[in-house]
Amino acid sequence: MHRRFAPLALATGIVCLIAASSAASKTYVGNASVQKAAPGTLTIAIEEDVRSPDNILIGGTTTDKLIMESTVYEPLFTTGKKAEPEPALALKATPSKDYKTWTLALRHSVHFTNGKLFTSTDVKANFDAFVNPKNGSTFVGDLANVASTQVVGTYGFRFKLKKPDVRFPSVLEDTMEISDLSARQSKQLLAPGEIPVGTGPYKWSSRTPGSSITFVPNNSYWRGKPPLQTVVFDVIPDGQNAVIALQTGQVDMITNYLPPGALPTLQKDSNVTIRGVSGSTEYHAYMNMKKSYGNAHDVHLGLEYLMNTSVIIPKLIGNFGPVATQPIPRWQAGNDPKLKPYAYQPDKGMQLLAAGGIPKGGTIKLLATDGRPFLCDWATVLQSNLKALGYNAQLTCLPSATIPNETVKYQWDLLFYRNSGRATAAIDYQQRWGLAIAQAANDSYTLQDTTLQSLIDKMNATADPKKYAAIGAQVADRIMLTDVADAPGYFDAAYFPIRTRVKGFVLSPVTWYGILYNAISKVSVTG
Amino acid sequence: MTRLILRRLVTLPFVLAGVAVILFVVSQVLPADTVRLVAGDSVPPAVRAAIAHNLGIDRPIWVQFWLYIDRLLHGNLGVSIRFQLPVNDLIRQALPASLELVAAATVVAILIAFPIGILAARYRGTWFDVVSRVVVVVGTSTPAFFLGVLTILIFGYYLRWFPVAGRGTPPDLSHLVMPACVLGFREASSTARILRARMIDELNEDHAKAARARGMSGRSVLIQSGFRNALLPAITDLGVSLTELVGSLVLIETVFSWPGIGNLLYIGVQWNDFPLVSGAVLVLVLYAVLVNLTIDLLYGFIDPRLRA
Amino acid sequence: MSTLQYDSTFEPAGERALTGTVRRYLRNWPGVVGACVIVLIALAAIIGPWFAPDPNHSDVLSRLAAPSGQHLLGTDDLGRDILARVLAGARVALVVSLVSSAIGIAFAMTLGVAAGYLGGIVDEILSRIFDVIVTFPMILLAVLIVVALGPSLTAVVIAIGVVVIPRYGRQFRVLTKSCVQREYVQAAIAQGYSPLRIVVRHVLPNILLPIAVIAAGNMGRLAVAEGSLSYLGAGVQAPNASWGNMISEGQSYLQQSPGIAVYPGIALCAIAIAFAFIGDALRDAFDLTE
Repeated sequence: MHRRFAPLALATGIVCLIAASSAASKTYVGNASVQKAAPGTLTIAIEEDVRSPDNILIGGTTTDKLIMESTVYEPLFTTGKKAEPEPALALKATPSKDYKTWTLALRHSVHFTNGKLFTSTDVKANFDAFVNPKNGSTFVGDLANVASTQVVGTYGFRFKLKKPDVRFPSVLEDTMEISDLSARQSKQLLAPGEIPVGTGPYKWSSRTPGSSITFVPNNSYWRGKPPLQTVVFDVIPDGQNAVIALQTGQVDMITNYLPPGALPTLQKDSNVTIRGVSGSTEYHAYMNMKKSYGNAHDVHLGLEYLMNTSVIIPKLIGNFGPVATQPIPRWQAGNDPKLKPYAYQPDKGMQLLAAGGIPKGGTIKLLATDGRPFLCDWATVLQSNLKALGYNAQLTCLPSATIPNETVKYQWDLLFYRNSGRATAAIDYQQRWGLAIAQAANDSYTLQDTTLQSLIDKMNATADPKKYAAIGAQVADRIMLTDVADAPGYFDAAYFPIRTRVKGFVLSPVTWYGILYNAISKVSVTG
Repeated sequence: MTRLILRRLVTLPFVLAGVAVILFVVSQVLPADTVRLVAGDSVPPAVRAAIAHNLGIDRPIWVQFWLYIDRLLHGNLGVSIRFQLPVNDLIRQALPASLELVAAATVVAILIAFPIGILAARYRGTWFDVVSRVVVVVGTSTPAFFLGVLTILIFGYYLRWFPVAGRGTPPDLSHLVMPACVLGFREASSTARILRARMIDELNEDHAKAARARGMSGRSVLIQSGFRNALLPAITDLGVSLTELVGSLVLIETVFSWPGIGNLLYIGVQWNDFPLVSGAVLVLVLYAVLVNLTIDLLYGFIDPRLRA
Repeated sequence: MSTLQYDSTFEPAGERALTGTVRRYLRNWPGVVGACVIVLIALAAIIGPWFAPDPNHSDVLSRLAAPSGQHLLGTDDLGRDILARVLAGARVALVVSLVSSAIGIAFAMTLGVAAGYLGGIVDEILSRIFDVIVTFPMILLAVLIVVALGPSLTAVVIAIGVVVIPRYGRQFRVLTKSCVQREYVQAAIAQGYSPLRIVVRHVLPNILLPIAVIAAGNMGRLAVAEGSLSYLGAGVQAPNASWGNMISEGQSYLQQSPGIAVYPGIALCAIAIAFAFIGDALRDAFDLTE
């Protein structure tokens, strides 16, 4: 080669080398227009990719349920308008007189997307896989009350319980999704790369891990052929970017992770409508029931009087949700409507703190997760207020990954935390305040109250809704007034901003894990 | 030259082994509770133990280390904790996206650096030189993530020229433009600076002066004496930037939700996903070493004196 | 990071040489601007707290306020004064760039000079260790170190300090190697002086200046590294202010109140560019060639 051209050749060489190595990626010159959305395709922005598409492993994170249960899998019951179980793969559940045996009647002629008929043996196989501790399903805790199960003919299935539970089907609401385990290599967990098979409206098509998942319709879906041609879940971790992507038409919908600051902007956008529903995820501060103070009760009560929640929270979160007065939301049976938040009484609060062992100038430690939204913000405001009152208020905001190690040291006085809501008050109380969980090692749930546990058991055995609500209210009073174990903040409202081209999107009026379930089989897009 | 390349090849396994050991040591010190990250709250102890067992993090450290090294020797990067998928597969899927971004950024870098470098040398001391020097400094100094955030706001939101996130399904060029420009701008800066400096040196050399004295036109002198001789250092620098942009790559891929290795790496760090982090880092290190090797080879090819 | 060579033979910086250097520096206007910017930022960071409100004081009743006489740059989403937080962030940025540089140079000097002077097996081992660490993506190694130590300002300073050690270490090594070749050092060795004396008397005075110039130019990069770490959540933790975490917090208000993210961003760019200008100007002033 002529030396004169060598350097130029070298330059092109390097570029070609890299370009060639990336040629495998098949770059297309696409339509540069951002606005144009593909016909028949619904694109949904999600905060993170699924951890696993395996129905047995779904449970730890909201996103997994949101994606997989709105497409591939269906549960036995979904959630009705008043949080009651609504038939899905199960048609109804019949209890025995003592509420210790529940028999399900399953839906007939439902087929998995691989053509296999759905029967009671599938429910049995899935149940066994869920409770097998080797599989590591997080749903085990919910099913702890089940003593044994039994297949009853082709379309019947029976649960035998250890303790009576009047609302047992609620435990199955949007939780136990069914897949065709017999089609899996291991008959248990999905092998890496294996495709998940369920009965839902859409079929798993492809996935770029950490980036996007694509679903195509299940044309023989039992509720009828789904209207969309493609459903794409696009991972956009940053909420603000997702908002811009929505406003520019790159995505049609944002799931439940809208940044608070973006709400006013979106409300002004004529291409976007915002559907909202009050959620049941509680944002609250745990009192430290394990730390020894001079008088713990006084300290906890003193802190309650200094929180000023009813002023701070509305200012801070605006429309993002109602102020909480107790661990479960107002619309749920078992809420005590008479409970009021502790009013802001700084003098009384400081007196109580001093009596409990924290004098003015004393140290108050706040620990908060950095997660979305507002937890660290709320704690920051509180810290500033406590400092103004003369306390040495210390705040640590940690990413959710590292916070568990700090919580179990129990050096904090207030732990700002977020808990997903559950289908009934009893499940909720059991999960957040029940002894079964409180005794688990390494946990932040520090209240260990046998009276409370017996009340929760009583709730489970009470059929009459009025009596149930009354006992539920007693539990709330016990936690808030007797134990003073919780400083409630607020319940989130779940916002789903969607573009106007999306039609037929219906929100469930109540939420715990997310919203898309039930709705997506009827969603279509125009244009 | 051959010795240098041989030496690089021989030391490669040691470099990779060193990186692997550092990663393992650091991963053992990290305080995150992996099981809780995976399973969330309210998990009974039995399930907790089962999950730890499934992830293989309940074994003694030295066993974990041995298994890790053994796996690596067999070319197996392990199974990701976050994705429950083999890291080899994850990397295989993400690598094209990252290479595409790097290649596009390099093209952008060349398109920016070469004109700026040449013209700044040609019009040394004029306003163009001054402005281009400022641009170059801004390019090398501005934090990549801030540049990314601003780009998204301006070109993605206000002007609506380009999509703001991801690579598109199927991948298209409009998604590539913004991340490639941000990354390329950073890459371009040091190259433009070297090119300018070298061209000024070359134009002051005797042969350039002689050429001018022989009556050659200014442009010919600029290209033949200046550019041709300054190209080699410029390209070397471009190669060095190619290895150094790995850090920016992580930030840019995160800001633009670009489905590449950097994005995986960041997810891995957030999830304390040791197999994923170590796999991604080893691949990035391998990439850096290979780029260096390529530069050495091309150097030998272009300059026969070095071939000895 | 490019390697500088300090080719001029050793000559004590006489008064004339020094004034010449100063004059050359003052002729370089970006260098002067850069120096002014850094001095301004440093002054503001140091005396700011006496005038600005508490950067962590939050007043939810006046959140997202527009700039006013009371809050010159307005308030953020928690009603905190943005200017006060930018100034608090300036302290963090300056502390990190200064202290991390110092840590990095101190360790790099010990290791790099040892490698360069002793040569042989010591050189081989240290060089390979440097190689391994340098091939690591800088920001990633820093993230891992911060996470391992528990996120805090100290952890950030240590992490960035550690990350730059091999980068400066390589330069110390190269400069020491070329310095040892020189006649007067060889003469000192021949006279049987102790290595420590030779290093301190003859080697270090020759190589510290170029390293100092590189380090000065690099301080902006270290501030940016701190910003990146805090932006990724592996740095200074909320509620304490750092430019990086202010940008990441302000990002969700980008459309509504862009100032929350943009002001700290501008500050970060300013400090980075200013240090780069200073580095360039010093390089020219001391006549160091690349």
